[in-house]
Amino acid sequence: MSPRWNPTRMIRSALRIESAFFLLVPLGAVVLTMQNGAAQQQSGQQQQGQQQSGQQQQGQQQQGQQGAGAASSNGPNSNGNDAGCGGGANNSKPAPLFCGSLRITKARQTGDNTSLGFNGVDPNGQVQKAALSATATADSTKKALGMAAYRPSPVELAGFQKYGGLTMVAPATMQPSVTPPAKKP
Amino acid sequence: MRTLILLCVTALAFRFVSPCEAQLSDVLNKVGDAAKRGKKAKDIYTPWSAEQEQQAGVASAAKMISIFGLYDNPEMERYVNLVGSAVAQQASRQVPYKFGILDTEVITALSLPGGYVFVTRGALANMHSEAELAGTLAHEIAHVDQRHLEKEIRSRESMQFVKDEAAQFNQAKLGILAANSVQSALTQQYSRDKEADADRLGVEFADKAGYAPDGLRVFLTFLSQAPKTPENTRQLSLWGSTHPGFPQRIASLTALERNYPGGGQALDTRFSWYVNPVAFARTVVATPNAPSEMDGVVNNGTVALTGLADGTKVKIRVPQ
Repeated sequence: MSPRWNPTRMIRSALRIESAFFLLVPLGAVVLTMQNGAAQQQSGQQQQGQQQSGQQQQGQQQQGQQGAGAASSNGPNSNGNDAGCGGGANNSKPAPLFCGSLRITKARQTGDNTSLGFNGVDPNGQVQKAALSATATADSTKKALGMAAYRPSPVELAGFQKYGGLTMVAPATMQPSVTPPAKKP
Repeated sequence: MRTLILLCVTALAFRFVSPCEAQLSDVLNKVGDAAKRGKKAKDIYTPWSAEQEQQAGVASAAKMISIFGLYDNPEMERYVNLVGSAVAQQASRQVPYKFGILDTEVITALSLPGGYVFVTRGALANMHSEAELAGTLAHEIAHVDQRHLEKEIRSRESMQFVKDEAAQFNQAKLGILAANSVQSALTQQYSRDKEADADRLGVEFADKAGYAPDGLRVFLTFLSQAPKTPENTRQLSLWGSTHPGFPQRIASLTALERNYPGGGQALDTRFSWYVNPVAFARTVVATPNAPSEMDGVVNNGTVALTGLADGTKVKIRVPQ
């Protein structure tokens, strides 16, 4: 029997390989199991988070429904701010700042006036939940974009600062990137 | 014999390779999931780009306007923008700041991403000088400057670890952002360090702009002295729920002002003209025989009083 084809040796080496497999594979399995456990923990936490956010959403919906009731009784459209104060978008002159001459320390509003103009809040002064959960209207988006479009011109702002004795901030001057060639005499 | 041994070895190899292959693909899937989670985390912790901030700002401002409405008074809107712009020039992060007046008697001021700063009609009516307005706006500008609201929202997102679809900056994400921004601005306080930061920077911005650095403190002191009537409580409810208590802030602002002994402009007369030009003009032309029915039309920096006893019109220009 040649030493090259010694079956006993080959079986022994095969058994060694198998024993190595038996050692390595359980080790790998343990590692993978640990990884799986960690992943399951993570997904469990995510599920918990989702459940919590779901509960929050449910809570918000409930609050929104409650707020809707409040809004119907005391909403921005029902408080008659513009109608009570006059002016505004319907008239040529701007709406007055306050319906009365309210100053906190010397409020002279009547009982009727005190409820005027409290847009967006309920009688307790809290933001109406229905308004908070509602999506913005197209008109509101237009107004927000309009706000972004308006900025005082640098000249107007400089004049405002100058006459108020405020700090004048010089606008940033752009340096030419290329030096112009000198004129020939 | 040799063939038999080879077959045995091959069978043995297959016995282990098949499960290993399955496990390998499982590992690769996990690596892919980890990469996705890494991208989501990156989305959450990377500051918004200028474009994203503007998009979030417009969506949030639209929601805010839909709740309170925008006060329709171009002259006063222009004035608030001028005061705000003068202060905003001192901010370290230059974003296109825009200022609006919310149409409510509730007293508050708030800021949103993208440089949107709002003050309410009720707040303006209870101020007495331009420095008070400047100080209030400066505090809100400091919140925008330091991305305070954005940080609050992103930290909340990281706690919830947002869903896949929300990680993209699309319409759904904008809707969520707008809701979160407005809800935070109206119902929650910033952390104490962020508020202190905004007070410190606000006083600095107002002072550098040339205003008296005590504007915000004077306004807060006035509000803190309000009698605890139901009307006043209602007016101040939002301020109370979104800012620290008055005594605490007044004390910290007083301490901050010691760093700015140079003084500055209060501009109470100019403020009175812009905030209530007709009332201001009435006081200017007040005579014992002046009728109480005098009305006025404001146009281009001039208020024309009508209804005088002799039928004439008086034009009062904005005081400089």
